[in-house]
Amino acid sequence: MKVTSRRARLVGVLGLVASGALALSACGSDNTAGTGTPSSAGSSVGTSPVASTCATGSASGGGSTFQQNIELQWIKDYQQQCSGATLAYAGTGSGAGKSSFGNGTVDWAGSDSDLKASEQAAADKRCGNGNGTGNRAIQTPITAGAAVLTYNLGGVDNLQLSAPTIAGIFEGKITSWDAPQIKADNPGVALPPTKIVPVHRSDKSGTTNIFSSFLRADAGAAWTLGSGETLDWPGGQSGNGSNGTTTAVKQIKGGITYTELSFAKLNNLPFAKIKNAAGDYVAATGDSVSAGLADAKVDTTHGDIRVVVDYASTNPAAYPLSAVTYVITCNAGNKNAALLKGFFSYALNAGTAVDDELGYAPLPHSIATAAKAQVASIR
Amino acid sequence: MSATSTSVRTRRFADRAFLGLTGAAGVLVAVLIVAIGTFLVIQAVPALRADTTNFFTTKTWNPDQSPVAFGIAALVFGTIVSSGLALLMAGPIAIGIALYISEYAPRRLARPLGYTVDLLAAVPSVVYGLWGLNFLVPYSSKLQQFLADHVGWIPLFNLGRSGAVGRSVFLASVVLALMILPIIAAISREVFLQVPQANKEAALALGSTKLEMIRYSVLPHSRSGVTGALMLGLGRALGETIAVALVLSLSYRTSLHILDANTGGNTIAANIANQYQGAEPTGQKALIASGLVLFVITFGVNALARLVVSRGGNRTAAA
Repeated sequence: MKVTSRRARLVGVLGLVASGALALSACGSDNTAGTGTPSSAGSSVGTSPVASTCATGSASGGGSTFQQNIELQWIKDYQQQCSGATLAYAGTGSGAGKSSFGNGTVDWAGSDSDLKASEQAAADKRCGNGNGTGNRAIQTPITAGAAVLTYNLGGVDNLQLSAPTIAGIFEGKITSWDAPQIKADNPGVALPPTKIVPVHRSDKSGTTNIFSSFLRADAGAAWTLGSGETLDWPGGQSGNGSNGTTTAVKQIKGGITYTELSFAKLNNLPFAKIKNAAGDYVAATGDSVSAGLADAKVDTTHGDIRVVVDYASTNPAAYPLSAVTYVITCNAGNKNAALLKGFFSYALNAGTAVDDELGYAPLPHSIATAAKAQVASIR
Repeated sequence: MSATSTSVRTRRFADRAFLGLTGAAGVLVAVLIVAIGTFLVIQAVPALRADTTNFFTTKTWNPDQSPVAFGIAALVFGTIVSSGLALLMAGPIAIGIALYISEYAPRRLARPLGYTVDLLAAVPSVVYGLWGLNFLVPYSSKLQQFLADHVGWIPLFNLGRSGAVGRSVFLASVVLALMILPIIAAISREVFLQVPQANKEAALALGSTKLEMIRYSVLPHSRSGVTGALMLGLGRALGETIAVALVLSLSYRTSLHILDANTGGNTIAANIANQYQGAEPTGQKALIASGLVLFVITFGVNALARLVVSRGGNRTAAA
């Protein structure tokens, strides 16, 4: 009888737990809504950047999680000033964004990685290429930012890392936080013997591309996985989207992942200073990202603007994991060209006012000028 | 006279119409299954042709790179291991719950208990996933670590050199077990309630204890029904998508170290959920090919269940 009544209680507990799950998931959606509305009131009322051109209609975009947080802020501000404009953005990952643009389910894609030939072909076709028009899909730089290495290591919040150390961690060759390589990067810091749990993205990700391109350029022989939106990871855990990876790191003592600066800030996670090619450990800030992009080259051979970041910049102030993120539209034949033009020109001009607060950086001047001209030409 | 014949004719017509409708409903199901199967095959073939590696033995999943290389080895392994473990965990508990409700619990307790079990079955899987990720992962880590520390000498619970507990195959199986538990329990309860009162009373009259009565009259009579319940549960576990995609650290590795979240795992359904949005045309077709494999596995499980059920049924009939 005792056993059975215990069983009865177990079932009761399960029932309670189920209703608790409902409450929890409700909290979860609150948090997501909060992601789009950074707490500080600075940007919302009063000092809200003014939109130059208001257009009406609706448009939706999706893709890059790198630009997710700033897109959501821009959309909020733009809609506040331009009644009649309805915009939406979903951070589904750069790969998903490009493929959704190709099959026409979004009006613009956010991406941190260039269109591959196959993706370009699909996107061109969506824009009407081949039906007697010369319409193409084009990439426009929309903002710049930093990928950071964010971690969960108890009291330690001043970590410094060099590219070969990061490569060793993510290849599973450095397995403990008190490993000699990490100690060498952090003289005088007491490091616990906690196991390192590297966390990477499980979906196709532009952030993975930025991170692996940096390591391929800066880590030398220590990095053997190449670069791309997905890699054949030899170990470590994974999460879907930047929310997935940061949630994992928050839960795992000893966890480390690469993500956008804005996600580390919103989740109150510390992020490491990274050693640049000049030998200095630099933290991710608006200024260090601008310095990191100062030597970037622009590739216009595809008929649009593709920025080639110099990860080995010897500028001592440069943050090496700096990146430019793009929006992808048609050059002509867009469904709601006026709204896209109005919104992107807002993002490139007045919208830069929210950069610093959200963890983004303005585009280098020459790239911004070219981007504005390209947006103005969208039809 | 004429009025009667009209009414007979109308009744005959109604009868025939109803036969037609029910028949059409039956045929529709068959047509749907065939249509889905055909769609899967047609979509899968181009990707399978493009695949440069062995589809059945390759563990990696790179359908959108060149050379195209993908295979379902890791996915099938993960699907079967996680669902099998879930069935092992949920089966005995669910049958216990059902027996308690049908045989032991007083009426005023049995009803609310039954409702609670049904309520659990109605919770959407994404809720199980979110709950698993935000609650079960942090709170079960201590238990997982305990298992790894104390019974780690069993290879199944070994963490390996760089292992870490957390979003492991074990955890995914626990979440799956919670999801299939109410289905198995609810169906088993109904099955146990079908046992003729006469059989039970006969056992008791012969001096059996309650346990012996359950063993010799309830369980044999319910064998095929309970098998059906278990297979339905297994079917749900095999196809479960979003809960697994949320709680499991996805990878394309296979390992029997079920506690090691650094090794992680994957299932066919979770892989589709995770990859479909970013997939290019070949990638999408490759995912459909994996869906075809899941379709075949589920079919196989159903056929096996049918076999077990029919054999069990024969034995009872013979006895």
